[in-house]
Amino acid sequence: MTEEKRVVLDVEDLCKDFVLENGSRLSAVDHVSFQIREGECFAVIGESGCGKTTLAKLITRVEEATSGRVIFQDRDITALGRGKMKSVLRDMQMIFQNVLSVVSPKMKIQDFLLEPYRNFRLMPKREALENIRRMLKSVRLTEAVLKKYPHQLSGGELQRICISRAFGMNPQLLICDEITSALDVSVQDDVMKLFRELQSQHGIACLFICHDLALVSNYSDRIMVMYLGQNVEIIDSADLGTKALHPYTRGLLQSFLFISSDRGRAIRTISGEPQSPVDVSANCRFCTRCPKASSRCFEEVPPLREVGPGHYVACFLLE
Amino acid sequence: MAKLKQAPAGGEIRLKRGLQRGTVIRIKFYAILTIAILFVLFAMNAEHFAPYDPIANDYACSLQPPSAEHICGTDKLGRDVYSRILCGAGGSFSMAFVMLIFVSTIGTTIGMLCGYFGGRFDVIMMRFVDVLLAFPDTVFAIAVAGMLGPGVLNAVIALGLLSWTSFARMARSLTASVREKDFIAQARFNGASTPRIILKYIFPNVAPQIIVMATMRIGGTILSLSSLSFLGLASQPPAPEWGVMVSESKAYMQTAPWMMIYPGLALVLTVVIFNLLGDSLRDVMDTKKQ
Repeated sequence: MTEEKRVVLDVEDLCKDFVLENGSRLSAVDHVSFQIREGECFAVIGESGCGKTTLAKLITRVEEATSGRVIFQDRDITALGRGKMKSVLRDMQMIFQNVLSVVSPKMKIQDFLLEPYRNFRLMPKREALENIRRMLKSVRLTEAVLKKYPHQLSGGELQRICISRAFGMNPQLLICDEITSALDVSVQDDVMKLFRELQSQHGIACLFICHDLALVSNYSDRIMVMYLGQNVEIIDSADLGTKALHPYTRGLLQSFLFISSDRGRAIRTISGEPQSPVDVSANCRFCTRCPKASSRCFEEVPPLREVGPGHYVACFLLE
Repeated sequence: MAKLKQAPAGGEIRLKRGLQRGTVIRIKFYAILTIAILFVLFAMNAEHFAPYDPIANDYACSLQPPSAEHICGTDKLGRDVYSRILCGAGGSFSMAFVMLIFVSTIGTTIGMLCGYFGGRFDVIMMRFVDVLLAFPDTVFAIAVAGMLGPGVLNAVIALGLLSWTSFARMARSLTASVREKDFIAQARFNGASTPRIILKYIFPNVAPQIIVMATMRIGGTILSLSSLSFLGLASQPPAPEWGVMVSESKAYMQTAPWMMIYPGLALVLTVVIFNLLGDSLRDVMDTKKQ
């Protein structure tokens, strides 16, 4: 069913190497490809340092890609100039992780919310304010917040304000960089429900970066698992628990804790140390920790192969 | 679906506790501000309050100790010390204010540009600032005032040439730290242009500290101007200026100490009031404490 929908974001073979001071190369994002379709919530998960945030920065051109292409709405944006990029950014909103530092402490919420309307010259102030009020209502906040400074609001309230702003712009793509990780668990669920509701209402494609597997499997449509810059598996969220094939994904699923889980059950963790991402040779990045690694895994990069409809895995074990 | 409740108006409990503290801070600030404003108004209109002409000589009553007629005594030319102190205040204040407004504007602009753009301009500017800061400021001011010739305006220029540097440094370091914040990235995401980012996002976060710094500097600047006058490089006799008065009193320090004590006290009082104003202004500006 997702097949018929328009592709909003197409990332092709994207790579980003950082050159370190001593001249070695740190490969943060390594040949990552994926597509996001209209109305879809595409989650990227992986442990910290696996290149999730770099990926977001590459798509938004905060960082320049080393190679590869980002195609947004049928337009290659990897080489756009600054002025043209500005018009692209209007259709590509981002919600940041650290809500407490996203609003200037000297700015009232109203000014913060009015900024994009003003800068992109979208509509006159009165209309913009109307729009803002409507969006605030949809995230269940009162108009009273407009007159407040950010330090007078809680993290959850601020994140809802950011969400209302992002959706208010009616973007084509919404990038969420760990939007719940700065929030209390009790608030996370509310914020996510709200987020999903708005997302399906507006039909906006969403790139959802997160490290919380449980949260992601509940609230997203497809999941991409990243390990040290490589894309190891792309799978439908519904199939995650049953059909995941890559050893890393399975390891993640097993290391999961449930509040109701049997205390006698051993917690299975992924053993071994991750490879250093500096000056890597061409191999499967997970080979040092993989319980089933063969000699081939140490010598070649496994290609991403389609093993089922919409299910891609990069692993030699499945051949 | 679990409905989110209507957001309470931003954490009532936290606000209530903060308000009390904020109120205390504000009352203190307004009290000091009132004193300072009265002080300045009084100084600006000193001619109406001064009982005697500050410049007119009256040899009949020279070097008189404080009495009912001359509450601060008279100097060797029989001029009323109290009247001279009052009339001297206005000039010092206005010079200090004008200089600080000018200097903080220039310093902040340069500092913010350096901090925001960095690069070669920043390096050159900051090395230049380092060079200026390497001079002891009084010595530098004496040298410049000596070169330009004595006079109040020249003394102000001499002091201004050095004092913009501290504003520039302060603005630069504040800008550099604000620039890395997420809200700048967010602003760029929402299409804000560079001038707008500097004016709307960086400046409001830099301004409070700059204003506090400028206020704290008022006292010091008046003191520096008086020192230059004392050395004969700024106001010239017979102008009623505190530094000039202290300078004139040197020879009579033992026989007529009131000539030195009262202008000195006036300086102390001024410096203390403006430093207190600066301090409480800093507390008030800190929005998070309220």
